[in-house]
Amino acid sequence: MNNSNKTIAVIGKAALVKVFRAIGYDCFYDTAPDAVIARCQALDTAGYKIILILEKTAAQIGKYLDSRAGKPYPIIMPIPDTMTPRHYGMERLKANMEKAMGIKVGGNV
Amino acid sequence: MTTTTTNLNATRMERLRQNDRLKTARRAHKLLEDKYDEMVHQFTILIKRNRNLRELVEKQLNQALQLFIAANTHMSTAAVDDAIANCHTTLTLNCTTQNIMGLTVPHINIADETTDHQITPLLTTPVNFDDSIRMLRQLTITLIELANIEKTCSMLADEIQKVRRRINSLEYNMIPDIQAKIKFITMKLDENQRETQIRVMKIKDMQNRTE
Repeated sequence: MNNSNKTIAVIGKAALVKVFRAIGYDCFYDTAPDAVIARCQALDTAGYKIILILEKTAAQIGKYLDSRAGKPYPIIMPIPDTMTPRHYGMERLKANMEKAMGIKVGGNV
Repeated sequence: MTTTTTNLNATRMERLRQNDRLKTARRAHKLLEDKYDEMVHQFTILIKRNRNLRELVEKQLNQALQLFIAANTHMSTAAVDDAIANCHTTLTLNCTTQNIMGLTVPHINIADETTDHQITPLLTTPVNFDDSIRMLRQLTITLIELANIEKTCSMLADEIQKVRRRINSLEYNMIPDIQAKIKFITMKLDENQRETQIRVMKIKDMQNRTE
């Protein structure tokens, strides 16, 4: 395992995420929502601080991601899926803005 | 607006107690409003940075992953796995927390990053593969900063929502309720006073008549 201190993990389709192993992240090839949730819980227990999930999978476990919002760690963040871009990360950013401001702000921040 | 006055003792002591409650509620309302303003200010700064970083990361990560997919088409799975296994990188992060307006948010910086194998275009790997890894390596710091800021924004948004609810509850529920209670007690006491005064006047009138 390259990432000896267990700080960053990436979850997603093997064809896309295994390249992250080359830069010191730990990769896990789960795609089914239940398996991803179970993996996230296991990684949290193992002490990972940042968990990156391909946005296609992240969009399917939105409720689980919201339930983890109160804790500072682990940070579970969606990253773009090149094969099927959904801009889920941007959607979450806009949702946060709406939550904080109380109104839906258009495209520009 | 509904006010619970059924179990209220219309006494001066109770009015004093309600006055104290009103004073505290008004003070809490002001403090929470100040906290809300500062949190929104911090949030506005962070969300702009978050958006810029998110756009940058999405663009560069897409490019890097597309390069990797392109490289995959020229290599066998075993060759890709071998090439990845040859890149030994150890990343050490310094993960702590910091306090923003009483809210504990994550604070991460890279403590150490060591690469045993400098990536250069190898004979066995296509250029796309090396470019992809080089881009990802350059993106690491931005990615970590984005994770940090995105989590902070998310936590701040939740906290701002909670504070706004508390402010609204104080402004539209608690303070008017206490004011209505005070008004009720004042009216009741005035009524009692008038009643007593009239009773005394009647008694005096009756005494005058008998004399």
